[in-house]
Amino acid sequence: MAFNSGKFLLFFPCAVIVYFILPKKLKSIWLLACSYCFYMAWNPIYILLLMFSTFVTYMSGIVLDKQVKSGVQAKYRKMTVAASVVINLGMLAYYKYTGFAFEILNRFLTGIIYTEPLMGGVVPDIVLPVGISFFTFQALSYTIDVYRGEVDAEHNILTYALFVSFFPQLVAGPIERSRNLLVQVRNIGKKRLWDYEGIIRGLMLMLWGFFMKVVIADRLSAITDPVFNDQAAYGASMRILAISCFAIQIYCDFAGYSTIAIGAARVMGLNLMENFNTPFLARNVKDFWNRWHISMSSWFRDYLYFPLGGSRCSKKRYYFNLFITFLASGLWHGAAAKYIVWGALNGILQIVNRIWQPYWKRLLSSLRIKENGPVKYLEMIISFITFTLTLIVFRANSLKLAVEYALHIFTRPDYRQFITERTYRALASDRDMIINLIAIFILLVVGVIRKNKGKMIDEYLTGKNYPVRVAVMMFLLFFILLFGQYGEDVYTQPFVYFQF
Amino acid sequence: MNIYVKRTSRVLIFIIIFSYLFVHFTYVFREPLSHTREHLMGFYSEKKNTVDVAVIGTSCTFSAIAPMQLWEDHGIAAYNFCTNVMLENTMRYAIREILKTQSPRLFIIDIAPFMNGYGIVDTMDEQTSGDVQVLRYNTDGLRLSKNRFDLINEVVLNRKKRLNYYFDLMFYHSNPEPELKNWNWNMPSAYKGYSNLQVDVMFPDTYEEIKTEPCTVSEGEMKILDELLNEIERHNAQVLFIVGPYWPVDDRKEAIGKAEYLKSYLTDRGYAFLDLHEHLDEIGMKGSEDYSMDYNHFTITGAVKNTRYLGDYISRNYDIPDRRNEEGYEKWHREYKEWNEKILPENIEWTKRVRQEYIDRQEEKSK
Repeated sequence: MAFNSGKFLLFFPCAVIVYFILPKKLKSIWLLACSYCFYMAWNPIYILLLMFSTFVTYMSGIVLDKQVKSGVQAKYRKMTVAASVVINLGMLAYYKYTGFAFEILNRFLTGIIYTEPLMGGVVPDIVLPVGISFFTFQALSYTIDVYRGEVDAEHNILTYALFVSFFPQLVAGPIERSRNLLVQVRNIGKKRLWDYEGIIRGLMLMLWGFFMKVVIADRLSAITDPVFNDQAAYGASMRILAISCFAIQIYCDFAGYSTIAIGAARVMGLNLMENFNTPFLARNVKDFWNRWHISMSSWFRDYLYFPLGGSRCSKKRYYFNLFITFLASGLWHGAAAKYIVWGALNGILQIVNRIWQPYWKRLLSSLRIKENGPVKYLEMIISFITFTLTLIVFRANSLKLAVEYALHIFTRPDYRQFITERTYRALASDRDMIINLIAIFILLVVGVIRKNKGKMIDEYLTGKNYPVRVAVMMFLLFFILLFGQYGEDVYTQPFVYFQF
Repeated sequence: MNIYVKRTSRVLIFIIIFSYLFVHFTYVFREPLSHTREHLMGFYSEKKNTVDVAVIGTSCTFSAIAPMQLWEDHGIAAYNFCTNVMLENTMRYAIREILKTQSPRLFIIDIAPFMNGYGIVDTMDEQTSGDVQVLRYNTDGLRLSKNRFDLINEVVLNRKKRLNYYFDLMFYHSNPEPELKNWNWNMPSAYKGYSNLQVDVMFPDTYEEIKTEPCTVSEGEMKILDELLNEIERHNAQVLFIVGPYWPVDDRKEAIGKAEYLKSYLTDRGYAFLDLHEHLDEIGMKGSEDYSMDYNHFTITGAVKNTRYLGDYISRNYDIPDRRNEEGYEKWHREYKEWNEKILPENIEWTKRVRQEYIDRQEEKSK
């Protein structure tokens, strides 16, 4: 059940209304039931995986708690954590990477170790359970947090199950931490959840999320998808347009989903962590990754990068840690060589950034250019272009095609033709382009407000008077209704990050 | 002000503004499907209780009756509440829709939908894009209302697809050519629901009457007809059923047989019935001039002749007032002027031109 489906638009109000009506004791159970129904709308059988992951991590928490109380040696506690990690990552690996592993083994080892490809070269057809990368990571973070003593083990399995499966963020994040969400889930029924301002702000966020997804992301996908699916038919200019649109599309798709999730949770009185903080206004790739998919980046930081040693080690080791972290993050995105290369590319960029930054600062200082002056816009543009170029690898249908795509851009320019013949009209009319530009401009305005005032759209509007709030919400609502991609016979895309 | 009252009123104001804008944006973005929307939009612009004769039917009907001719000849204020390919089921809802704002002294109901059998409702399930268009013809000319929702529930069998019909903005929002003039869905129209169609048929001026045995109508259609009659009786409405002045052609024996069966059924039930087909010579219909698409669609000349005959029949048999000298009908005078000085001559000219093009095409083919 995607957020932009008719089903969800019926499901969500029903879930919320009953949630507020029910007695305090039943609220958590109701939310858990809703969350499981939400997940089962995709493939009912995979609910067992969610339950299994929940059970394993719940039990690991209980065992760890007992081990701490009975003073068991640290190595046994480590074994408990390791068991939970192995089981969860094993499940993730089986469903996500088995096919990829077979492909790799057959490609590189056939003829060396095996005479015939494994299983006759047939790649096992395993359907990826939606959101598995998200909920296993969320469940694992709990085990590790209990082990580290950062959170108390949860003894009520229903409360814990709701933490793992809370439907707004279940299938595409934000990947929540027990320190934040579990603590709030424990308090459901203990404190007043009905909050008029919270509901209104939650609805505003949902509206903004829908705008990002249904208007911007889906409209832009009508430009990007045809180009990437038949790239040989398009020249350099269209490729540049397509990859630029894809950068905005994937941001609006994913940030849109996260914003709807945060808004939906807020309606129910729960606060989820922010997942995107105007990444396109970042001034370098380091800054960018602090603002992009924050819940995933911080997960890898806390549970991989820091344990590896972080930056408090030799430079070589520091760069190695950075590289490995980004490599893992690339692999997390998908079981394909292109994602690994994409992760590696980002790792390399991070290292280059760390090396380059002191020289850049020195250069600015010698030229007497203020760091926070207009040069920051140049930095933002460079940061955007850098990220966008890496996305060619991410979006192309294969690594080979990604290389061809990029080379074509640099070696066969056709900009004059693009301008004089307006070749983009093969994919989007002038009217569509104007609507897209208006929507992107609105995105930029909201981003600038977020960055300069430090407020998300809901918080910013709450400070305005009622007519202004109504006018803005009406504008967004009707922009979605009139220019969004929804309904039959209209090109729509599922949320991109569902596939991860 | 109490905080709860303040909050509730704010939410209510938001909902009211949203609903108002939603309804009107829906109209602005509705796609033009043939001339359907102009037909019904014009009806909504009529002042309350000013229409004395409401005509219900399909394209055969709106091309056969020119309400402004009734105004010219008899001062009858009539309106064609017709859509392309009107389904049998829709007729009942058309009566309800008309009665929301008008109290016609006479309903003229063309049985063409039953003859043509478009709306054997259990087959209309959006199987093809043609089916979608037929359903859209029937539903999208109506204003958003419960009556429209009820009609959709009856004719759109696939429940999952109904949302698209209830809120047609979902279907039309990508329409690249919104029309702001549709904002209130009540654009006045001097056509009064009349419309003509592409001319691509010519019959010889002499004809032989077809001998048909009365054939029966399906159980499903009879059920729909009985529901229509119940609706009429519920409103105690005065009704004249008609069959258009169709040209007797051999391959439509079945449809004509159906008409005969329905005629006998309705007259047995005590309803007035006028079979215009039986008066082709009195009307003066000419096969070579007065038919457009097929044997039961008409050119402007056919419509004028037919309407004159029908007007005489109505004024002889019903007590319909002459409104030409009454106050409150100034709009009708203006619209008649537009009809007489602009629309009628232009339509005659257009018909001549497209007929000549048709003849040229035929000659080209025969070479």
